[in-house]
Amino acid sequence: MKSEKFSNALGEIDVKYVEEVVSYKAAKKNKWLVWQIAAACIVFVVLTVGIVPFLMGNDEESVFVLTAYAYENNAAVEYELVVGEKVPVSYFETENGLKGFVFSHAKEKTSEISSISIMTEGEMPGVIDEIVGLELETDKHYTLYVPEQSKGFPYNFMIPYTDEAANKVIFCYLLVEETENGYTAVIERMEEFERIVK
Amino acid sequence: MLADEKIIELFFARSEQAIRELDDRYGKVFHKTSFNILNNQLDAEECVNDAYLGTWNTIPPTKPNSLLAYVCQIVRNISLKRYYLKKALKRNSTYDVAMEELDACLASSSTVEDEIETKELARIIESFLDTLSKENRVIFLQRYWFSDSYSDIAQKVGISEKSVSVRLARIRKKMREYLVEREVLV
Repeated sequence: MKSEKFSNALGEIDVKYVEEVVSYKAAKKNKWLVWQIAAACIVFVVLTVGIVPFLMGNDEESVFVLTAYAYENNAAVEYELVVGEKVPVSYFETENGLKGFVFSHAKEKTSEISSISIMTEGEMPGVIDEIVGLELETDKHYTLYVPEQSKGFPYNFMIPYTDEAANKVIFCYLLVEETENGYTAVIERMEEFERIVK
Repeated sequence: MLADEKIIELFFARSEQAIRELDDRYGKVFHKTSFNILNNQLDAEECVNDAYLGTWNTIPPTKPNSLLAYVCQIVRNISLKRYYLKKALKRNSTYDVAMEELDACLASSSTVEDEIETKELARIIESFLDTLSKENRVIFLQRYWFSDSYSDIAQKVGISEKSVSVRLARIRKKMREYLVEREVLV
Protein backbone atom coordinates (compact mmCIF):
# COMPACT_ATOMS: atom_id res chain seq x y z
CA MET A 1 0.00 0.00 0.00
CA LYS A 2 1.18 3.49 -0.72
CA SER A 3 1.58 5.79 2.24
CA GLU A 4 -0.23 8.39 0.10
CA LYS A 5 -3.41 6.29 0.18
CA PHE A 6 -3.00 5.73 3.90
CA SER A 7 -2.48 9.44 4.47
CA ASN A 8 -5.62 10.26 2.48
CA ALA A 9 -7.63 7.77 4.52
CA LEU A 10 -6.16 9.25 7.69
CA GLY A 11 -7.57 12.59 6.55
CA GLU A 12 -11.04 11.01 6.48
CA ILE A 13 -11.08 9.76 10.06
CA ASP A 14 -13.69 11.14 12.43
CA VAL A 15 -12.89 14.64 13.65
CA LYS A 16 -13.21 13.41 17.26
CA TYR A 17 -9.73 11.85 16.98
CA VAL A 18 -8.27 15.19 15.88
CA GLU A 19 -10.14 16.91 18.70
CA GLU A 20 -8.57 14.49 21.15
CA VAL A 21 -5.09 15.46 19.92
CA VAL A 22 -5.64 19.22 19.96
CA SER A 23 -7.17 19.14 23.43
CA TYR A 24 -4.58 16.70 24.85
CA LYS A 25 -2.61 17.98 27.78
CA ALA A 26 0.17 15.90 29.30
CA ALA A 27 -0.06 15.51 33.03
CA LYS A 28 2.15 18.26 34.43
CA LYS A 29 4.92 17.17 36.70
CA ASN A 30 4.97 19.30 39.79
CA LYS A 31 8.65 19.41 40.79
CA TRP A 32 7.88 20.21 44.42
CA LEU A 33 5.38 17.36 44.56
CA VAL A 34 7.99 15.00 43.09
CA TRP A 35 10.47 16.05 45.80
CA GLN A 36 7.84 15.70 48.51
CA ILE A 37 6.95 12.20 47.28
CA ALA A 38 10.65 11.29 47.08
CA ALA A 39 11.19 12.51 50.65
CA ALA A 40 8.12 10.61 51.86
CA CYS A 41 9.40 7.47 50.10
CA ILE A 42 12.81 7.77 51.79
CA VAL A 43 11.16 8.12 55.20
CA PHE A 44 8.92 5.14 54.40
CA VAL A 45 11.85 2.99 53.26
CA VAL A 46 13.92 3.91 56.32
CA LEU A 47 11.00 3.03 58.59
CA THR A 48 10.15 -0.17 56.76
CA VAL A 49 13.63 -1.52 56.10
CA GLY A 50 15.34 -0.24 59.23
CA ILE A 51 13.03 0.27 62.16
CA VAL A 52 10.05 -2.05 61.62
CA PRO A 53 12.13 -5.24 61.09
CA PHE A 54 14.20 -4.19 64.13
CA LEU A 55 11.05 -3.95 66.25
CA MET A 56 9.61 -7.11 64.72
CA GLY A 57 12.77 -9.09 65.40
CA ASN A 58 14.05 -9.01 61.80
CA ASP A 59 11.14 -11.11 60.53
CA GLU A 60 10.86 -9.66 57.01
CA GLU A 61 7.38 -8.98 55.66
CA SER A 62 6.59 -9.79 52.07
CA VAL A 63 5.70 -6.91 49.74
CA PHE A 64 3.74 -9.03 47.30
CA VAL A 65 0.91 -7.04 45.68
CA LEU A 66 -1.22 -8.51 42.92
CA THR A 67 -2.87 -6.30 40.32
CA ALA A 68 -5.82 -7.23 38.08
CA TYR A 69 -6.81 -5.57 34.80
CA ALA A 70 -10.19 -4.59 33.39
CA TYR A 71 -11.06 -2.99 30.08
CA GLU A 72 -13.05 0.20 30.63
CA ASN A 73 -13.82 2.89 28.02
CA ASN A 74 -11.37 1.33 25.57
CA ALA A 75 -8.51 1.43 28.05
CA ALA A 76 -6.98 -1.03 30.47
CA VAL A 77 -7.58 -0.08 34.10
CA GLU A 78 -5.56 -1.49 37.02
CA TYR A 79 -7.09 -2.78 40.25
CA GLU A 80 -4.99 -3.71 43.26
CA LEU A 81 -6.26 -6.93 44.78
CA VAL A 82 -6.88 -7.26 48.51
CA VAL A 83 -8.00 -10.51 50.14
CA GLY A 84 -11.80 -10.76 50.10
CA GLU A 85 -12.47 -7.69 47.90
CA LYS A 86 -13.88 -8.25 44.43
CA VAL A 87 -12.55 -6.13 41.57
CA PRO A 88 -13.70 -6.00 37.94
CA VAL A 89 -11.63 -7.90 35.38
CA SER A 90 -11.92 -8.37 31.62
CA TYR A 91 -10.82 -10.84 29.03
CA PHE A 92 -7.61 -9.81 27.24
CA GLU A 93 -6.31 -11.40 24.10
CA THR A 94 -2.84 -12.26 22.82
CA GLU A 95 -1.66 -11.83 19.25
CA ASN A 96 -2.35 -15.53 18.74
CA GLY A 97 -5.96 -15.28 19.88
CA LEU A 98 -5.49 -16.74 23.39
CA LYS A 99 -8.07 -15.20 25.73
CA GLY A 100 -7.64 -14.84 29.45
CA PHE A 101 -7.51 -12.68 32.55
CA VAL A 102 -4.39 -10.66 33.29
CA PHE A 103 -2.67 -10.23 36.65
CA SER A 104 0.66 -8.65 37.50
CA HIS A 105 3.02 -8.18 40.37
CA ALA A 106 6.21 -6.18 40.83
CA LYS A 107 9.49 -7.79 39.83
CA GLU A 108 11.50 -8.82 42.81
CA LYS A 109 14.81 -7.80 41.25
CA THR A 110 15.20 -4.92 38.85
CA SER A 111 17.72 -6.98 36.89
CA GLU A 112 15.05 -9.57 36.03
CA ILE A 113 13.53 -9.42 32.58
CA SER A 114 9.83 -8.57 32.59
CA SER A 115 7.72 -11.44 31.25
CA ILE A 116 4.17 -12.59 30.51
CA SER A 117 3.48 -16.17 31.61
CA ILE A 118 0.51 -18.09 30.32
CA MET A 119 -1.29 -20.12 32.95
CA THR A 120 -3.78 -22.87 32.26
CA GLU A 121 -5.26 -25.06 34.95
CA GLY A 122 -2.40 -24.60 37.35
CA GLU A 123 0.31 -25.00 34.75
CA MET A 124 2.61 -22.40 33.23
CA PRO A 125 2.93 -23.72 29.69
CA GLY A 126 4.61 -20.76 28.06
CA VAL A 127 5.70 -17.17 27.78
CA ILE A 128 4.44 -14.55 25.32
CA ASP A 129 5.51 -11.05 24.28
CA GLU A 130 2.36 -9.01 24.09
CA ILE A 131 -1.20 -8.68 25.32
CA VAL A 132 -3.40 -6.70 22.95
CA GLY A 133 -4.58 -3.39 24.44
CA LEU A 134 -2.28 -3.53 27.44
CA GLU A 135 0.72 -1.25 27.92
CA LEU A 136 3.26 -3.41 29.68
CA GLU A 137 5.36 -1.89 32.42
CA THR A 138 8.98 -2.96 32.57
CA ASP A 139 9.02 -3.33 36.36
CA LYS A 140 6.33 -6.03 36.45
CA HIS A 141 5.75 -9.70 35.74
CA TYR A 142 2.44 -10.58 34.13
CA THR A 143 0.34 -13.74 34.27
CA LEU A 144 -2.33 -14.47 31.67
CA TYR A 145 -4.75 -16.98 33.16
CA VAL A 146 -6.44 -18.82 30.27
CA PRO A 147 -9.46 -20.65 31.69
CA GLU A 148 -10.63 -23.95 30.31
CA GLN A 149 -13.78 -22.84 28.47
CA SER A 150 -15.55 -26.18 28.83
CA LYS A 151 -15.31 -25.94 32.63
CA GLY A 152 -17.37 -22.74 32.93
CA PHE A 153 -17.48 -20.11 35.68
CA PRO A 154 -16.40 -19.70 38.44
CA TYR A 155 -12.71 -20.37 37.89
CA ASN A 156 -10.33 -21.14 40.74
CA PHE A 157 -6.61 -20.98 40.31
CA MET A 158 -3.45 -20.14 42.17
CA ILE A 159 -0.59 -17.76 41.35
CA PRO A 160 2.67 -18.60 43.11
CA TYR A 161 5.23 -15.97 44.09
CA THR A 162 8.70 -16.44 45.46
CA ASP A 163 9.92 -13.68 47.71
CA GLU A 164 13.64 -14.26 48.07
CA ALA A 165 14.20 -11.21 50.25
CA ALA A 166 11.65 -12.39 52.80
CA ASN A 167 12.66 -16.03 52.16
CA LYS A 168 9.03 -16.94 51.54
CA VAL A 169 6.86 -18.64 48.96
CA ILE A 170 3.38 -17.18 48.64
CA PHE A 171 0.44 -19.05 47.12
CA CYS A 172 -2.29 -16.65 46.07
CA TYR A 173 -5.65 -18.40 45.55
CA LEU A 174 -7.95 -16.54 43.19
CA LEU A 175 -11.56 -16.84 42.13
CA VAL A 176 -12.94 -15.35 38.89
CA GLU A 177 -16.72 -15.11 38.60
CA GLU A 178 -19.15 -13.98 35.94
CA THR A 179 -21.54 -11.20 36.99
CA GLU A 180 -24.34 -9.25 35.29
CA ASN A 181 -21.89 -6.49 34.32
CA GLY A 182 -18.93 -8.66 33.37
CA TYR A 183 -16.40 -10.52 35.48
CA THR A 184 -14.85 -10.07 38.91
CA ALA A 185 -11.73 -11.44 40.54
CA VAL A 186 -11.02 -11.84 44.22
CA ILE A 187 -8.17 -13.23 46.31
CA GLU A 188 -9.82 -15.91 48.41
CA ARG A 189 -6.79 -16.54 50.57
CA MET A 190 -3.02 -16.31 50.63
CA GLU A 191 -0.72 -18.92 52.07
CA GLU A 192 2.85 -18.21 53.04
CA PHE A 193 5.54 -20.83 53.45
CA GLU A 194 9.14 -20.58 54.43
CA ARG A 195 11.34 -21.05 51.41
CA ILE A 196 13.54 -24.11 51.54
CA VAL A 197 16.70 -23.72 49.49
CA LYS A 198 18.43 -26.99 48.77
CA MET B 1 -9.38 36.66 21.96
CA LEU B 2 -12.85 35.30 21.44
CA ALA B 3 -13.98 31.83 22.49
CA ASP B 4 -14.80 29.24 19.80
CA GLU B 5 -18.57 29.64 20.25
CA LYS B 6 -18.33 33.41 19.66
CA ILE B 7 -16.23 32.91 16.53
CA ILE B 8 -18.74 30.39 15.20
CA GLU B 9 -21.51 32.90 15.93
CA LEU B 10 -19.62 35.47 13.84
CA PHE B 11 -19.41 32.94 10.98
CA PHE B 12 -23.14 32.40 11.24
CA ALA B 13 -23.69 36.17 11.22
CA ARG B 14 -21.53 36.29 8.03
CA SER B 15 -19.12 38.72 9.69
CA GLU B 16 -15.61 38.81 8.21
CA GLN B 17 -14.38 39.50 11.73
CA ALA B 18 -14.80 35.71 12.20
CA ILE B 19 -11.75 35.06 9.97
CA ARG B 20 -9.62 37.59 11.84
CA GLU B 21 -10.61 36.13 15.22
CA LEU B 22 -9.99 32.59 13.97
CA ASP B 23 -6.54 33.60 12.72
CA ASP B 24 -5.71 35.38 15.98
CA ARG B 25 -6.70 32.34 18.04
CA TYR B 26 -5.40 29.42 16.00
CA GLY B 27 -3.46 30.87 13.04
CA LYS B 28 -0.11 29.58 14.33
CA VAL B 29 -1.40 26.01 14.73
CA PHE B 30 -2.87 26.01 11.20
CA HIS B 31 0.32 27.43 9.78
CA LYS B 32 2.47 24.81 11.50
CA THR B 33 0.18 21.99 10.32
CA SER B 34 0.50 23.18 6.74
CA PHE B 35 4.22 23.95 7.00
CA ASN B 36 4.94 20.43 8.32
CA ILE B 37 3.56 19.09 5.05
CA LEU B 38 4.82 21.67 2.57
CA ASN B 39 8.05 22.90 4.18
CA ASN B 40 7.47 26.30 2.62
CA GLN B 41 6.25 29.42 4.42
CA LEU B 42 4.54 31.00 1.42
CA ASP B 43 2.75 27.80 0.39
CA ALA B 44 1.66 27.23 3.98
CA GLU B 45 0.30 30.76 4.21
CA GLU B 46 -1.69 30.35 1.00
CA CYS B 47 -3.08 27.00 2.14
CA VAL B 48 -4.17 28.47 5.47
CA ASN B 49 -5.90 31.32 3.64
CA ASP B 50 -7.62 28.80 1.34
CA ALA B 51 -8.69 26.87 4.43
CA TYR B 52 -10.21 30.05 5.90
CA LEU B 53 -12.20 30.44 2.70
CA GLY B 54 -13.26 26.79 2.95
CA THR B 55 -14.33 27.38 6.54
CA TRP B 56 -16.27 30.49 5.51
CA ASN B 57 -18.08 28.45 2.86
CA THR B 58 -19.00 25.57 5.17
CA ILE B 59 -19.90 27.39 8.42
CA PRO B 60 -22.89 27.71 8.27
CA PRO B 61 -24.52 25.22 7.88
CA THR B 62 -21.85 23.16 9.71
CA LYS B 63 -21.51 23.91 13.42
CA PRO B 64 -18.34 22.08 14.51
CA ASN B 65 -17.87 20.83 18.06
CA SER B 66 -14.23 21.81 17.94
CA LEU B 67 -13.42 24.73 15.67
CA LEU B 68 -9.69 24.02 15.90
CA ALA B 69 -9.99 20.35 14.86
CA TYR B 70 -12.46 21.20 12.11
CA VAL B 71 -10.31 23.88 10.47
CA CYS B 72 -7.16 21.79 11.00
CA GLN B 73 -8.76 19.05 8.92
CA ILE B 74 -9.44 21.52 6.09
CA VAL B 75 -5.89 22.91 6.33
CA ARG B 76 -4.43 19.40 6.13
CA ASN B 77 -6.52 18.38 3.15
CA ILE B 78 -5.71 21.55 1.20
CA SER B 79 -2.01 21.29 2.11
CA LEU B 80 -1.90 17.66 0.97
CA LYS B 81 -3.48 18.56 -2.36
CA ARG B 82 -0.82 21.17 -2.92
CA TYR B 83 1.87 18.78 -1.75
CA TYR B 84 0.91 16.16 -4.33
CA LEU B 85 0.93 18.83 -7.03
CA LYS B 86 4.46 19.76 -6.09
CA LYS B 87 5.58 16.24 -5.38
CA ALA B 88 8.14 16.21 -8.15
CA LEU B 89 10.05 18.86 -6.26
CA LYS B 90 12.54 18.32 -3.49
CA ARG B 91 11.37 15.95 -0.71
CA ASN B 92 12.44 17.37 2.60
CA SER B 93 9.38 18.14 4.72
CA THR B 94 8.52 16.46 8.04
CA TYR B 95 5.58 14.96 6.17
CA ASP B 96 7.98 13.19 3.75
CA VAL B 97 9.94 11.69 6.62
CA ALA B 98 6.76 10.58 8.42
CA MET B 99 5.42 9.00 5.22
CA GLU B 100 8.70 7.18 4.58
CA GLU B 101 8.30 5.56 8.01
CA LEU B 102 4.83 4.43 6.99
CA ASP B 103 6.00 3.17 3.60
CA ALA B 104 8.20 0.60 5.30
CA CYS B 105 5.33 -0.42 7.59
CA LEU B 106 2.75 -0.70 4.80
CA ALA B 107 4.96 -2.41 2.22
CA SER B 108 3.18 -5.33 0.52
CA SER B 109 3.30 -7.10 -2.80
CA SER B 110 -0.43 -7.72 -2.91
CA THR B 111 -2.97 -5.75 -4.92
CA VAL B 112 -5.79 -6.39 -2.41
CA GLU B 113 -5.19 -3.09 -0.70
CA ASP B 114 -5.48 -1.21 -3.98
CA GLU B 115 -9.12 -2.19 -4.13
CA ILE B 116 -10.03 -0.93 -0.72
CA GLU B 117 -11.86 2.38 -0.70
CA THR B 118 -10.37 5.34 1.14
CA LYS B 119 -13.46 5.64 3.35
CA GLU B 120 -13.38 1.94 4.20
CA LEU B 121 -9.70 2.23 5.07
CA ALA B 122 -10.50 5.26 7.24
CA ARG B 123 -13.02 3.17 9.23
CA ILE B 124 -10.40 0.42 9.71
CA ILE B 125 -7.87 3.01 10.87
CA GLU B 126 -10.47 4.34 13.33
CA SER B 127 -11.05 0.87 14.76
CA PHE B 128 -7.28 0.42 15.08
CA LEU B 129 -6.98 3.79 16.85
CA ASP B 130 -9.62 2.59 19.32
CA THR B 131 -7.33 -0.27 20.37
CA LEU B 132 -4.58 2.19 21.40
CA SER B 133 -4.27 3.97 24.72
CA LYS B 134 -5.15 7.68 24.61
CA GLU B 135 -1.50 8.70 24.88
CA ASN B 136 -0.40 6.37 22.08
CA ARG B 137 -3.29 7.56 19.89
CA VAL B 138 -2.17 11.17 20.40
CA ILE B 139 1.44 10.26 19.60
CA PHE B 140 0.44 8.38 16.43
CA LEU B 141 -1.84 11.12 15.13
CA GLN B 142 0.57 13.91 16.00
CA ARG B 143 3.15 12.15 13.86
CA TYR B 144 1.05 10.94 10.92
CA TRP B 145 -1.90 13.35 10.92
CA PHE B 146 -0.14 16.55 11.96
CA SER B 147 3.32 15.45 10.70
CA ASP B 148 4.84 16.83 13.90
CA SER B 149 8.51 16.20 14.68
CA TYR B 150 9.62 13.80 17.42
CA SER B 151 10.75 16.71 19.58
CA ASP B 152 7.36 18.45 19.26
CA ILE B 153 5.56 15.24 20.21
CA ALA B 154 7.94 14.59 23.12
CA GLN B 155 7.24 18.08 24.43
CA LYS B 156 3.48 17.76 24.11
CA VAL B 157 3.20 14.30 25.66
CA GLY B 158 5.88 14.84 28.30
CA ILE B 159 8.20 11.96 27.38
CA SER B 160 11.65 11.77 25.78
CA GLU B 161 12.25 11.80 22.00
CA LYS B 162 13.69 8.30 22.30
CA SER B 163 10.46 7.09 23.93
CA VAL B 164 8.45 8.70 21.13
CA SER B 165 10.54 6.86 18.55
CA VAL B 166 10.19 3.51 20.36
CA ARG B 167 6.45 3.96 20.86
CA LEU B 168 5.90 4.86 17.20
CA ALA B 169 7.87 1.82 16.05
CA ARG B 170 5.70 -0.40 18.25
CA ILE B 171 2.47 1.22 17.06
CA ARG B 172 3.49 0.82 13.40
CA LYS B 173 4.28 -2.85 14.02
CA LYS B 174 0.94 -3.33 15.75
CA MET B 175 -0.84 -1.50 12.93
CA ARG B 176 0.79 -3.65 10.29
CA GLU B 177 -0.38 -6.78 12.13
CA TYR B 178 -3.85 -5.27 12.47
CA LEU B 179 -4.05 -4.54 8.74
CA VAL B 180 -2.73 -8.00 7.82
CA GLU B 181 -5.30 -9.61 10.14
CA ARG B 182 -8.06 -7.73 8.31
CA GLU B 183 -6.57 -8.65 4.95
CA VAL B 184 -5.90 -5.02 4.05
CA LEU B 185 -2.26 -6.01 3.74
CA VAL B 186 -1.03 -9.44 2.77
